[in-house]
Amino acid sequence: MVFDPTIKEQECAEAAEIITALLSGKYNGTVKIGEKALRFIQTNLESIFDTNADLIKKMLSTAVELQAVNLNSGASGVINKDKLSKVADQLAVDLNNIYLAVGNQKNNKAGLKAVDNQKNNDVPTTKPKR
Amino acid sequence: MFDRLQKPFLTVETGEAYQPIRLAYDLAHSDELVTALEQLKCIEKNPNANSWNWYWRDECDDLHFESLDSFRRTPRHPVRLGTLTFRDNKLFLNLPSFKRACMAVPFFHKLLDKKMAYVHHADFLNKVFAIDERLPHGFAEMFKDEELDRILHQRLEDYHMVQQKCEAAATAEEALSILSDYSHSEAGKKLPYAERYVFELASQEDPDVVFLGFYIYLRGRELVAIKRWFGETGYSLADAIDETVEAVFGGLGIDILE
Repeated sequence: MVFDPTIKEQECAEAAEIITALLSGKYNGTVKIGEKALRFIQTNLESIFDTNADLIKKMLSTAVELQAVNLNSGASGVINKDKLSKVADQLAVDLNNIYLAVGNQKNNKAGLKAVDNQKNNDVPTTKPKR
Repeated sequence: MFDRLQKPFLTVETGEAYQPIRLAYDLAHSDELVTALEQLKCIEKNPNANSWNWYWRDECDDLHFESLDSFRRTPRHPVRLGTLTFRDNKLFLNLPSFKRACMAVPFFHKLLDKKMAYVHHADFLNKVFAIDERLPHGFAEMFKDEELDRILHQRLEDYHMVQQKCEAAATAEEALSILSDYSHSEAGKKLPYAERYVFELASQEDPDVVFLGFYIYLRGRELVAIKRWFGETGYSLADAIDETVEAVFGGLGIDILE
């Protein structure tokens, strides 16, 4: 198996960077993942690419999942700022589309009333009507 | 599903779901912080309490909320975005939606000297509310410190076990599979009612990365809460991530020729 020759070098470089960073222990800034795995992948990067392109997408998914399930950001080195921005933008678009689609605007007055009944935005002083 | 669509959830003025969230800041010099806060035009002290209101005006005038297309701002009555209070040598910023929290963290990070105050954690709820639902009676009712800490430490402990397994893996691919299985399994779990997110600003060179991480962490959960409200009871973070990653990276353009 070989790579499609139309693949841009930049894409390969980015993928290699992600794989290396993910296994290098940069995640979280405090914990390390697989020093042995890192050494292995550094010497076998080319063959891993050749045999499993899906690995790249798996890496990306894992990086975002780690971002989403763990206790802090920890994304530095795992997935770069540009890619994080794209993920954040996509979430914003998805959510805004939902808000606009379900027509929450017309119910906003009722919602506002309930929220405004809360002292300091977080301490309700009266219960909304059931 | 249809019933739920007929009964939208509680929202705030700017259109996002009402999801209470509290940011906690560690304080080094509270006196200086009060002086700094009172110099901001978007912050206004409450006359009879040790608290301040944060309004959508002046320094934060250019914040954007795209989730409501019909909202019109009135300069004479600016929207109150949140409130700030002092307690136990901490500053708490109380906000009614995740998006406001995502905007507040970088906004105050730029405005406040790190020698005075720095954001430590955020406590929040993983649910949306019905319009006529009883709202929690303040943060003390919503957040139990011990429970939030327990969830946090359990997650960290689980993660360290995975780290050890990765270290013992024979190959890099095996290590990745262990890590990938763990992250996918975690993302597939039902989210707890309340959660704590701890910031790691000190160890990060680029605070924007932390802010983006916080955004993804919170808004992914917001998406899960809304989907579940709409009747997709099995919807999880893993589903949200799969969809987002596919939308963002699906066009990566990497194929293999046999």
